[in-house]
Amino acid sequence: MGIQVWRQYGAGRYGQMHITAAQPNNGPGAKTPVVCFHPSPMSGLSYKVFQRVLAEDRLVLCPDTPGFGGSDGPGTPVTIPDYTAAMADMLDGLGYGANAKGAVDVVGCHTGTLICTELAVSRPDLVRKLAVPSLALFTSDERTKMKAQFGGPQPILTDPDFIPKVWRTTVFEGANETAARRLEMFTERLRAGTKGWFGPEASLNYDCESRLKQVMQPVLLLVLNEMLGPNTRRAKEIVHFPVLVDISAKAGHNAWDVEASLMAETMRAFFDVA
Amino acid sequence: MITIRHAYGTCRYGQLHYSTAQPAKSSRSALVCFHQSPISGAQFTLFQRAMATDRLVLCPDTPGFGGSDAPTTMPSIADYAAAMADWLDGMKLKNVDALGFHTGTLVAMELAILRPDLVKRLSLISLALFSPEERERNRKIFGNPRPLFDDPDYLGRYYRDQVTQADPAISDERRLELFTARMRAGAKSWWGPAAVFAYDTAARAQLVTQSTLLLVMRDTLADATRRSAALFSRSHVVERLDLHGPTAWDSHPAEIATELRRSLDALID
Repeated sequence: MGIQVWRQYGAGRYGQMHITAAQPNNGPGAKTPVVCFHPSPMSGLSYKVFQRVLAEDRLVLCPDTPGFGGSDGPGTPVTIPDYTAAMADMLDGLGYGANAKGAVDVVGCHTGTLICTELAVSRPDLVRKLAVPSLALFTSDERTKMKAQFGGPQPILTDPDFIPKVWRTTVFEGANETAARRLEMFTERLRAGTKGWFGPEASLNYDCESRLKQVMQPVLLLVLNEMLGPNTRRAKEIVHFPVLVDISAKAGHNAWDVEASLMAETMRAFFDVA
Repeated sequence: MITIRHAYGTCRYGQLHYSTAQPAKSSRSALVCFHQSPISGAQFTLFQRAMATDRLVLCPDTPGFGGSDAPTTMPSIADYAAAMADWLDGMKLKNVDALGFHTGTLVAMELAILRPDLVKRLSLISLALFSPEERERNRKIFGNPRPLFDDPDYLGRYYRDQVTQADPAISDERRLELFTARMRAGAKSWWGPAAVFAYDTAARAQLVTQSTLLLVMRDTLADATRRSAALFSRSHVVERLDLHGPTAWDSHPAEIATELRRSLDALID
């Protein structure tokens, strides 16, 4: 049957929002659409492989967070609630939510998991279920330490070797995915420019734990073999309606690309159960 | 303040990304700007904003560059021009003015030949006109894949040339933006230059019937642009050697817009 993939623009409070959409060739079908929020400083293109697999039986939307990929960005650092409000603008504009097309299912990775969380709390009419592999759940102490290590601007223009080093480690010496895909993601990262740090900064300023406690929708905590696997597992004690699935024996940080079918099947099993 | 908006149209290779800017009201012909490769329509961002104060200005990304879908096999300039005609037809636009820079000059003039109903006037800046010997020499240098995955130092050198040690006439933020636009074409970025060096500019120029403005800026194609005047049936040469071709779109966008407004609007349709 095959799928169709296209790109379009929506509108958010910071300007235009770029979205990649995919669905079966014969239409989206009756299943709830899925919206995927990406890690920073990447874009919706992070989900390219996974999106095409999940879209075999439903509409899958991958927006670029404001300031990343093809979406217009804020001029100064913003918060996770700000990013989330922009995503809500975009979804409202597409006709989702109460008294319209109803709620969507949301998927996140790293920064994207926090947008999922905040959207579920602030706009429950927009979110039916959440799937959050690699949940960016940190204690206050962890956030303080991580901010010291990863917070603030990166020396993109002040260190002439910074970008070439990123290239060497992620593209030239990278072993996972194809070379063309590694190049594509490197370029996508560049598109955030010198403001790419706004995303990680917002993540490290966000009190995920207290907001998770307010999520009343079912949450799939999908544990992968990667740095946030333990954090994702820990959330089981916080979330009201958790479903913990551990696929860490088979899937690591690059599961979105190399284990896309497993990721999609695991999410389908969660999203499609009544 | 002129706002730039982005959108997708369609062409034979899939979706075609373009940016658009316009004043609240205008009766002038729309201007369509075709970029140099391997950049994208983003090359014209500052100029687009300056020029759009009195007309609609559209800056498409050539298929395979920027945000536009790519052909699956190496295209010719005629293929690129046909894709642009698809897109303009989809927009229901007619009688536009076409502007090109380097590779974009060839797309603009080929579109003018292919679809005289679409193109009213031409503005060619730094025309990609080469002798057969120059074309062959340049094809060997620029018309081949970049060693992206073979040379561990290639990217570092390219980044240095385009960003950290590039002409300070352009801000470093903007240089990074343009570098990123260059990288978006990926491993097939050489298809644009390869199409240029396979195109017989001198022969095709003689088929152009529209009024053609040849704007000579200070760059490697200045002499070629000047000598091409004899090839076009209705050419008008404007010398602006005070403007440096590779940087002027960013360092002097308002000056280019003023010059084009004066020269282009003086051309007889």
